[in-house]
Amino acid sequence: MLFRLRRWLRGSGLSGGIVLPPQLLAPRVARVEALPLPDRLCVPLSDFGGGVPEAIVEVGQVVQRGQPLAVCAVRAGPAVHAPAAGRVVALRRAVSLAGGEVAGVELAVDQTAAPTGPPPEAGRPEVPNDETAAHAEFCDRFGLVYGEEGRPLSELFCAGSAPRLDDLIISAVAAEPAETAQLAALLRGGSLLLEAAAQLGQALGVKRTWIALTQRFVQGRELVGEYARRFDVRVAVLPERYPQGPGALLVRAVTGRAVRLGGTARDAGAAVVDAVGLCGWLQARAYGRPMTHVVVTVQGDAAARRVDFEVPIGTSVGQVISAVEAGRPIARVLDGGPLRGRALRDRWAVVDKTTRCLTLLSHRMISQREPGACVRCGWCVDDCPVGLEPATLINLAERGETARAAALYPQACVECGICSYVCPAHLDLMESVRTLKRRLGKAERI
Amino acid sequence: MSIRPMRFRIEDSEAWDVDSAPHVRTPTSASRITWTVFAAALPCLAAGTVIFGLRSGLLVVVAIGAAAVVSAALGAISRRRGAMDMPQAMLIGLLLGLTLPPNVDWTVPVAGSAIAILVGKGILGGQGNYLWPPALIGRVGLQLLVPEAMLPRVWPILGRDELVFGRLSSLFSPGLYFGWRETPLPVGGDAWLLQRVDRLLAGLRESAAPAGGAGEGGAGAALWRAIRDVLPPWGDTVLGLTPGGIGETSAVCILVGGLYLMHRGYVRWQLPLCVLAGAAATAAVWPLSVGGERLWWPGLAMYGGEPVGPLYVLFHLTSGELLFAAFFMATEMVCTPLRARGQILFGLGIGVLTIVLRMSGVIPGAGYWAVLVMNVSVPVIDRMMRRRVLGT
Repeated sequence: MLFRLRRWLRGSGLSGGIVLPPQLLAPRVARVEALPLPDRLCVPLSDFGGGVPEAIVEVGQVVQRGQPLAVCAVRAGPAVHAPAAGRVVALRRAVSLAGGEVAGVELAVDQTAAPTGPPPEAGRPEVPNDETAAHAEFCDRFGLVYGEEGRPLSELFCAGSAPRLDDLIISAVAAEPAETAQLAALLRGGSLLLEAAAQLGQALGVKRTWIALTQRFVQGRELVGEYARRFDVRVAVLPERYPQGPGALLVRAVTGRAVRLGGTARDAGAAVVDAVGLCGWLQARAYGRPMTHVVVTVQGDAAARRVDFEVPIGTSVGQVISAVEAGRPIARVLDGGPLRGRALRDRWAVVDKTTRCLTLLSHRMISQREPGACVRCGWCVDDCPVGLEPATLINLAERGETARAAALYPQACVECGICSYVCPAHLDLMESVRTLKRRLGKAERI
Repeated sequence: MSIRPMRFRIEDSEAWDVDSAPHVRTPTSASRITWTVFAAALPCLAAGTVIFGLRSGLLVVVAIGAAAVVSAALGAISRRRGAMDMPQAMLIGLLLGLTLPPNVDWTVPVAGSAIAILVGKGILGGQGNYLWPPALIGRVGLQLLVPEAMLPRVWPILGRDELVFGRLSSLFSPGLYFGWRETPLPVGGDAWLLQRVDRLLAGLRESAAPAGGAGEGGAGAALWRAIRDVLPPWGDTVLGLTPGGIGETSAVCILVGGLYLMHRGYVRWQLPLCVLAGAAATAAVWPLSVGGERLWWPGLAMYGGEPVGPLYVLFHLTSGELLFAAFFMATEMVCTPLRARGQILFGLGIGVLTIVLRMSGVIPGAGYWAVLVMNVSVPVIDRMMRRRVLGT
């Protein structure tokens, strides 16, 4: 009885989130446009868990589109391929979107080559049937990477001791409502993408394959409704709230199972693959093309129009921006949307396999107000999607009481930024929770 | 092979602004909330000015000005963040002024504002950390400091032909009072001297039998006669035509302001509603002894088809400082529980305590004391109502 009362008082943990104002939402989904092929590409050799891929081309070598540029030699990991035909100009460092620099291969693009080019392995590739190791090798060979955190698709196949997968969730729920890359990719892929989803589900041996998308995009819902039945893919229509994209929330919303704190979706028997990542699987399965392009939304009030580009990996941010006519003067460029995005320092950062959205903001949109004192309105507590108390956490963080803060589970934070967004005192709540999270992580490692 | 970053032309790298996410925020700010509450309290000030005269309105303005001056002085000598938050200081002054009796000396609001800002906001925690609403600290500080000015036995109210421009100096105690609208003032008088309705209600608890015997009809009838003879008409308490603090009396104006705050989302509806629910429930079950007869469950009393009990509860809700405390004092964001569930408990506590203190306590201003007492329990409530974190 007391236990029940206590549970009621504390709530289910599945509330929170807000309905964002219309200026932060995408108005509609347009067709994916191809980005004009730039003269230079600096393909980053990013580390997605298999170590940094080692270049297997030499300076001056002419490469075809889709030709492997680098492979992971030490441990298994996704390979890197040439997004366009051209000549290797240099092996140098590329500015990564995450802030640092990574090894890169610079290509002088051959503009005279056919834009789509013949795939290097013409016709349907040999697709392994049931051996998971062969599947993983296939994914790595075609350089398949999914999600904004950038995980190799092969890791879904080599589970090790992890529990069996029951659900595969194909997520067309954007990390931010302003981002439409996932839906655009879904609409472009159409029935083929759903078939690919079903195939991926079969290959993984899951019981149910889901496609998750939000209510507002009726167009997408009809499309997937029609084909989903044919391929036995279930459709999960989520309410139009923010945030829902993070894996833990999506698994909870679709399957009803909670991802345990500190665990991954896998521990709850589910895998979340985003639609753009699934496009890579589709291209590899159906046409034998490696993952060389991603769909990237370019939006924000400083962009003259919002557009979903198919961007070759290695294109610099500056080149993407110059493809949309400038609107207002650009004050800030974000990798991601306005709520979670990371501000970029300069235009030389290159698009990699995890880029989904670039946001261009003018001075008008950026809030520049001084933080005040907490007024304990409780809005951050109401809106937190995982049930944290950011107001209490920032207090503890300011006083350096990490041990007391640990009892409030700051590690559960999904960094959606909603607490800072709603805070009337303009406190950097998310930033302080993130700091606490890091501090606790360090303490645990020691 | 030279390894250097891929930069083609130096002049191409324009300076982009870098900051942490989120890059956009709601337009709502703390000062906007403060100004909204300020605006929501203005109908009460207007009602007070009409009912108690221009001078009482001026008292509130003095309180606002004093709060602003004291806050500026505190800001000048303190480096604490938000020490000189002018909108908030003015709101504190306004709320304090609205709780004052209408005929106090002008030094009283000055002293009250100084206490509210220096003690309530400055010493007891500072901006965003105080346990009690500063305006309430000012008010109860005055109650302890100048009890004779703050707690008179009879309170003034302007007569029906002397609204706004009447003076609270030429006072009359009515012999027979049939309600504010029905009773004409004697020639040359401007205002009545009356007992507060909440004091009259508290008197019902142990009212002796009238001189002519217990009367007929039992306790229900006795309550009915008490309401008819002792209390003003219920319309007066709803409109605010009863004596009391400057902004406390008009239930209609308080409701207008409070509902506007709920509409804006700056007050959760659960809190005032639960204050009223708690108060109504307690008033309905608090046993009375009217006219020498014991009355259990006064909230259910009926007499001759008249809903005596509900009327009695309505008097409790609309009289005294209960409504003002529920909508403007208890809802001070800093001093309330973080979650709506917590505020339900908090509000119920305030409502119950108000009636208990009113009926059996010795300190006037029961509603304010109830808020102060419940504010102390806020940390406990918050800990009890902590949300379950996903995945734990």
